[in-house]
This record gives sequence, structure tokens and C-alpha cells, in this order.
Amino acid sequence: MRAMTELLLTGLLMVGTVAPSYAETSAVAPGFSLPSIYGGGEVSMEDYRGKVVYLDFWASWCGPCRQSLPMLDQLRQEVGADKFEVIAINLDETPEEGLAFLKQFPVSYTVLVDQQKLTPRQYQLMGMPSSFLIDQQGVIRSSHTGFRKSDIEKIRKSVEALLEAPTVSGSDKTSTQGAANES
Amino acid sequence: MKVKLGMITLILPVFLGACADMSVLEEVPAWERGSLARPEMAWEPDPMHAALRQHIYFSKEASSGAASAGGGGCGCN
Amino acid sequence: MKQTKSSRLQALTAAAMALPGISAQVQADAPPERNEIGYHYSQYQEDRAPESAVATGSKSRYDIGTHQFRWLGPVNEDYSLLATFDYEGMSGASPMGVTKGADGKPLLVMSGASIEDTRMDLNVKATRYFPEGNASASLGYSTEDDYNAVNLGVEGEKHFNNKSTTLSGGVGFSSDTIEPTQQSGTVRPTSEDKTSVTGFIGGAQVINAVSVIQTSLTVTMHDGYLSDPYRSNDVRPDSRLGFAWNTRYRRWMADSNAALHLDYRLYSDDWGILSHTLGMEWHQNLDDSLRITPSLRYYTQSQADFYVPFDVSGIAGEQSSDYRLSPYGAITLGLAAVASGPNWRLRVSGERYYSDGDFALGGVDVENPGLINFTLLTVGMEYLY
Repeated sequence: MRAMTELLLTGLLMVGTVAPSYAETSAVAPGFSLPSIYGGGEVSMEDYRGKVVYLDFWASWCGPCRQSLPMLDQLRQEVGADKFEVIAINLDETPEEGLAFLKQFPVSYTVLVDQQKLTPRQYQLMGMPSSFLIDQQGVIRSSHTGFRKSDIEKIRKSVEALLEAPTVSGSDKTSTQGAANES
Repeated sequence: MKVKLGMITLILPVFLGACADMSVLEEVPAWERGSLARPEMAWEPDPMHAALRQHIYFSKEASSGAASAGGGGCGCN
Repeated sequence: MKQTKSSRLQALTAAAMALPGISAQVQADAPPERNEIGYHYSQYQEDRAPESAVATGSKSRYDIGTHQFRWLGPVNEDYSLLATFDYEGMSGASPMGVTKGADGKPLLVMSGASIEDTRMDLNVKATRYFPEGNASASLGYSTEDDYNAVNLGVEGEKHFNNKSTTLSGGVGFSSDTIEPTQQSGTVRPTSEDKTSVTGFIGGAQVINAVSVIQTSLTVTMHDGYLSDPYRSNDVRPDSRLGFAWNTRYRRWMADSNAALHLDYRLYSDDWGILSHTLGMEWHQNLDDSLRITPSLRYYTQSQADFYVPFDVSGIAGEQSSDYRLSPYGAITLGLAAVASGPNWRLRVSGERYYSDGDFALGGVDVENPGLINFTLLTVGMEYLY
């Protein structure tokens, strides 16, 4: 009961601190290696160097996810999977719950499962869904919590901006590694 | 009297258990709120039926008061 | 690309430590993703008054059929709209007073003919969503043959601590007018008004990954004509100030695949009514699409200061023999079944209410003969699109 009072008081002091819905960052995306939700081999973050990656953390119980999954799937097909990848990490308690959701909302992009719930800690998730836009060098360029229909256009613009950036042309393994280390 | 005692012996231990639960607050990360997000965990899983029940009890008993500002009276009380 | 698991783990742990607050924002409040439309039909039936409890008049009590309609949907990314409409048809007789029988026991004086009435109630509520909260305004209108009420309200919620804590509050206002149906041989007012103001504050807290609690305090002030014009000797104070303290607790029982609901309300007002309401529901999932919910409610109230077990005619001052102001207790047993799919929900439920002087906390010397028992049966459906 005392802890609750403390929380309520802390809460009162925080009135008025409204955070922006998009945060720009320049941190190196934490690496991971996780199995596909459909079974089979592990996929790691580094496999996608050279591509713009939209990393999406979701769960079957998250309301906005029934909008975000199909819309992201469409965006990936429109932009082209050769340049832009969506990687979704399912955080349901059991993969079966995530699979049941995917049956209802099928997607063609990579869906991984993190049963140890290590990645959400590394990416410091504050809400569901949470997403991170990662550039060709593996640097997180922006992060976002929640999902609204209009977000997809903002994501498209950000992805296109990253694809048009000069660093993309002639990017080879060594130069991208170098860029990531510099930031 | 039997009914009264029955009610108390049935409900009191559950409430005491709930109080014990409350004494330890935990920080629950966003991705571990799946159980809390379940529809049957809502304050009112069926808002339509809850509204009807509230209306009936308001009409047939002397007490009123729920945590909402809407809703009006009726010629029933 | 081949790397050992442990080295991968080390690499990502190191990277995590280097992250300077990449996800500083929390999830915004948002309107529901889908539209929801619902229809419920309920049959409310009070048991007939026992032969031995009635001095004169009809023995049939109220019988009410209620159609409920509800629509909830997003308007745009920041607003949602909720509209509800109720249509009720009621019939039956109601107690006009309590008289002393030959053996000294109280007997009901019931209205003779059956009363027929319809009630319509329309409520609209608009909600605006903010990054860490929401605010809404509501407007409602309710009408019966002899009654009209307009109400408005504003309320809001603000989330804190990454949505672990929510504070809420609101105020409501209602203006009611009663124009009693006249009957020869009785003296009834022609038109009377009542205004009510309600305010509440509350807080909700996530306790752990499986339980949450909410507590709130509601203050209600009524002013104006608060008596029952259809009772022979019913004179009540022209104001009423009441407090309600509500606490609700929800716990997910993973082992049983069920949710436990506990509700408690303490109510007290300046008419002398003190009541306790305890509610318990067990939402048991049988599979992904079927849920069974048994419920139990216990209610007990003390009498109003001006409550009289028998009507006394020809005296000045406040008095009422209304069973609703008498001391008693009540128990409701309920069972509901909810079947659901990805975009629909079906509900069937039944509740049985028993009230009795013996159920009250504390003794009751003279039980009011007007106490009711009722059955409530409901079928309902909701569709999401």
C-alpha cells in the first residue's frame, strides 16, 4: 500500500511530461540471433547489413498489431524486399499464440520468436508494439512505440530517405562496418 | 444468519488474499502485459450488461455510485 | 555468419549496455482499432408478492423487457465515439404503502391496476486520446411517460509510470423532471424537479504481471423533489449527499485459465443509509472461444433515518415506508456464457436476486413486506468490423 502511494505521488509529479511519439537515435542496433516462429534456423541482425530494416516487436494480444502487421507486409512488397526488410519479433508467452494470430493475419516477412525475452530488454521497450528503423550500417535511426494507420506513410518516407542517402551506393561490407563503428 | 455467515466466510478470505497480493508491487515491462490485456481481465468485460445491472441495482436499492460521470436518473427511485 | 551462441550473447549484451535510451517514449492512448456494434435483450421479472403480504391491490410486481443497442468506433486517430440506446417496456404494480395487519404484521398496499410505461435512454460519449491519457464528454437524454432527464458529464484519465498507474476523475450533472400520472382520489404533485451533481476521482495500479487494482471515490449530491409521488405517505428530505468508495481487483489465474474479479463498494449518505456491496466473478475459459462466468454478489444496507415500517397518515415531517429505504440484505447468483470468434461475441446469462431482512448485517426487527426477488435473463450479441 505504501509503495502504491509512492507511485501515485511520483505519477503526480510527472504530469505534463509528454514524450514525442518518434525518437531519433544514432545507437548501434543490438545484435541478436533468434529462431523463426515457424521453426527452422536462426536469423541474426547482421544477416541484413546493407538493407534498411524495420524491426518490429509485437504480440498477439496487442490491439494495434492487427493493423501494423498487414500494412508493414504491404510496404515491404512495395519498396522491394531486396532493399528493405521487416523483421518481426514475437513476444507472446508461447509461440502458439503468435502463430494463431499469423494464421489470421499472414505476412511474408521474417517472424522470429524470443522466448527468453532478451531482445525487448536490450531494445528497452516501453510499449507494444515497438519498432526500430535500422539503416544499412546497422544503426538505429528512429524508434517508435504504438501504431496508427497514418504511421505507415511516415515509415515509408523514412525508409525512402534512408535508401536515397549517398552511403547506400557502393556499400560493401568493410565500409558499412566502418560507418557503424564510427557512430 | 446462515446465509450471512456463508457470504462472509466465502468472500473474506479472497479479499484478504487480494490485499496480500497488493503489498508487493512489481514493475511489469510492456511485453509482459499479455495476461493483463486479456478481455476477461477488463474492469467490465461486458459494458452493456454492466450498464444494465448498474441501472437495476440503482433502481431497486438505496445505494448508487460508480466510477463514471455519465448516465442519468430515472423515475424509478 | 557462423558464430557460437555464447559469443553472440556477449556481443549483444555489450551492445545493450551502450544504448543511450533509444526508446524513451511510451505507448500513446489510442481509439479502438475496430467498430463494435452490439444488441442485448434482457427480461427482468420480479416474483409476485405473496398472498399473505398484501392487504389490497394487485400482487403482480414489475416485469421489464429491455432492448439495448451500443455502437463504439474510432472517428479518426484521436477520437472515438460511443452511442448507447435503451428501450424498456415495463408493466406491473408497485407498492403504495405499508399498513399494519390484524396480527400486527406489516402488509403491502399495492396499486390496483397494472402500470404500463416505456423508457428510452440515449447516451453519446466522445473521447479524445492523448499521448498519455484520454478525456471524454458525454450527453444523455432519458424519457418515460412521466419522467424526463438530461445529463452531461466530462471525465479523463492520465497514465503514469509507463502505464502502470492511471489516475482518473470526472464530473457529471443531471436535471430531472417528474410529472406524475394523476389518479382520482389521490393528491399528487403535477410537476417536480431534481438536479444531481456527481464527482469522482480514482486511481488504478498494475500490481504485477497478473493483477491490477482500481479504487475510486464518488460524491453525489441530489437537490429537489426526492420523494416518491406514487406512495400515499412519502415525504423525503429535499437534498441528499452520498459517498461511494469503490475498489475493483482483477487477477489472472494462469493455471486455471481464468480471471478472478473482486469488487467492493462502501456507500454512505446523509439519509442514514450505510451499505456494503461485495461482488465476485470467476471468468473461466473452457477453450479459445467459450467462457463461463459464475458470479456472486452480496449487498447489505441499513435503513434511512426517516424510514417507517408502517405508514402513519396525518402527521407532519419526513417518512417513507419504501422497501428500498428499509434495512435488508440481498444476494445475487449469476451464470453467464460467452462464445466469441475473431469478430463476434454471443452472450447468454441468467441472474437470480433474493432480498431478505435476515440477509442484512445487524438485526432487522420488522422486515419490509415489499422486498423483491427477481430473475434477469439476457441474450446478446456483438459484432466487430
